[in-house]
Amino acid sequence: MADVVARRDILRTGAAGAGMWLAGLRIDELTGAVRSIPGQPFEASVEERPGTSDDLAYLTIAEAAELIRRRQLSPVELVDACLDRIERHDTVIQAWVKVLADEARAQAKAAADEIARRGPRSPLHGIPIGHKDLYDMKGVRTTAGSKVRTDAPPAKHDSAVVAKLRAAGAIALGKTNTHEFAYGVRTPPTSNPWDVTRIPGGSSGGTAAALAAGMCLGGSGSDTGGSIRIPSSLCNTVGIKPTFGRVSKVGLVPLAWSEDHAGPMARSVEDCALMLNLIAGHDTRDATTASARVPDFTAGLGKSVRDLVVGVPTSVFFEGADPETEKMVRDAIPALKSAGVKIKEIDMPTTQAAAATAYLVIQLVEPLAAHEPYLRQRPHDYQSQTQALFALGTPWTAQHYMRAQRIRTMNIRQWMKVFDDVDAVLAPTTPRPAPPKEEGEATGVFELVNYTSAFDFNGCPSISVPADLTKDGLPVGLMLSARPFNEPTLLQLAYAYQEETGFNRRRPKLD
Amino acid sequence: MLAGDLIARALLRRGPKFTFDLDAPPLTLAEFDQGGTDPGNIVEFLALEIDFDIEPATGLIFPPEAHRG
Repeated sequence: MADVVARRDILRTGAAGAGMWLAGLRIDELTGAVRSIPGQPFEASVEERPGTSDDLAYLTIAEAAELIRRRQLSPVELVDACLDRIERHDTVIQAWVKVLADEARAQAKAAADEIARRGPRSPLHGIPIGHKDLYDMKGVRTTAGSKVRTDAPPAKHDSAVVAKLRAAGAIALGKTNTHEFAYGVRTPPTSNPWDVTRIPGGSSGGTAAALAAGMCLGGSGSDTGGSIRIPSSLCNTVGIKPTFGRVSKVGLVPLAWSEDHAGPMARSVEDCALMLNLIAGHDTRDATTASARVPDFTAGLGKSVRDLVVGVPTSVFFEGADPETEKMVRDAIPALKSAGVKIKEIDMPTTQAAAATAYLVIQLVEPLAAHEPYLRQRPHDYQSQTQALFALGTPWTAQHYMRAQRIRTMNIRQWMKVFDDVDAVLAPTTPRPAPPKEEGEATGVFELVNYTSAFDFNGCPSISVPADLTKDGLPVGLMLSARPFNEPTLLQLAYAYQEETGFNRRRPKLD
Repeated sequence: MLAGDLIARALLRRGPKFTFDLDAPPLTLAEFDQGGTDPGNIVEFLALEIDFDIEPATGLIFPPEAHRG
């Protein structure tokens, strides 16, 4: 059973705001509760500071930033609230590989002092976040969840994402668990906070579980087949896989170079937008990053979504979904319609079936090439299932690989035509809620990537937002995907859905 | 069959105690999926006709028109 925390307990917006949003009016015009002024940072208005340490740990980044800005909350208190929940719950959840408690407290004290003198550097100043243990953090070993790297030296430099968030004043609370080298969707030994007998999803399962358990306010993830969105779906959190090339991957352990994406994870759409504002942009050290203009990703939040067009696929994306999951996601359609969103059924690209195999060829061949040095030195330090995945990369020739990439070109062109007619495409993030842990031992429960992987293949931005709980109390996510570099529209739509439903405010019961 | 289902089925055929040897002969395409009885997706993948002028998209460099929106 979920412990629902009504937004009105924290935000002025309340149910009335959501109801009026349904009439197609802007929440900020109605209540002043949400402010998004071009050129100015997004802020969530907070009525009053939550009274308990647990409620502090469950603040959104936007709320905490506002309280910090008003000097009503200290980063020290916020870090202590998260560390307290880690101490109480992480023996069961096992979201963290390494908790940097002393360092985080020292950073929080420094942040508090600086904010008292000069005000916050950014909305992330003083905010505790968790980094997936695939990102280098200076002075800390990057294990990538593998025995292969248990004796690796500490990283000499921060990865680009860690460095940017650190420069913005975010507090690195520690490293979160990942499925081994991000090559899977289970993330052992981490447990799902909604049902500890089930997986949190993966590969960024540690970050999602930590967020759901109130152990940090934001985090980093990476997504090659769905690794940001799948655990977000299974843990009732929010995660956006930005456009390929939007965020630098310098210092991120690679899995498949042409399918890897770095991105933010949090408990709200606005928090993902705030983080993306800080980590997006061209990086001369990463040839895959794009020179596309970086907009203010919060600018559209709270604005009317009237006349935006959302496409509902007539094939592929609901294929194999369990009926309850499908119903929960389709229930979003009337809610979007009543807000003025136009719904349109859309056909999938004719290359989509071949694209599934083409995705797979790239997904199996590139990791085999990336891991060749370790596979020569210590192959049997990999988990058995990871070794099996490497074996599945062996039958493909160079000709097959190039065929896969060329099918990708055709598929991307067809998707561009899809996005000529619609602003976003709606689908379930995962075909089902979190499976029991033991179920993945034979198959890896890889069916969880069935829908998400299409957008790693075509590189389009894609977000997962909570879409209610099943009758057994398990979360499932709704996925929205858009044209390359159109994250602002994606975030605008996702925010509208989030504010209408409030599903992201639900907490698992851990005590 | 969708991508995840295909991986799941191929993994199931390898078994839970698989060990990998980089120097061992590679799998055949028939072994990859269903032991040669029904290669399914692989046939579809190999049969798709690709125009001569379709360039590879390695690195996913988007065309300029993709930047709209």
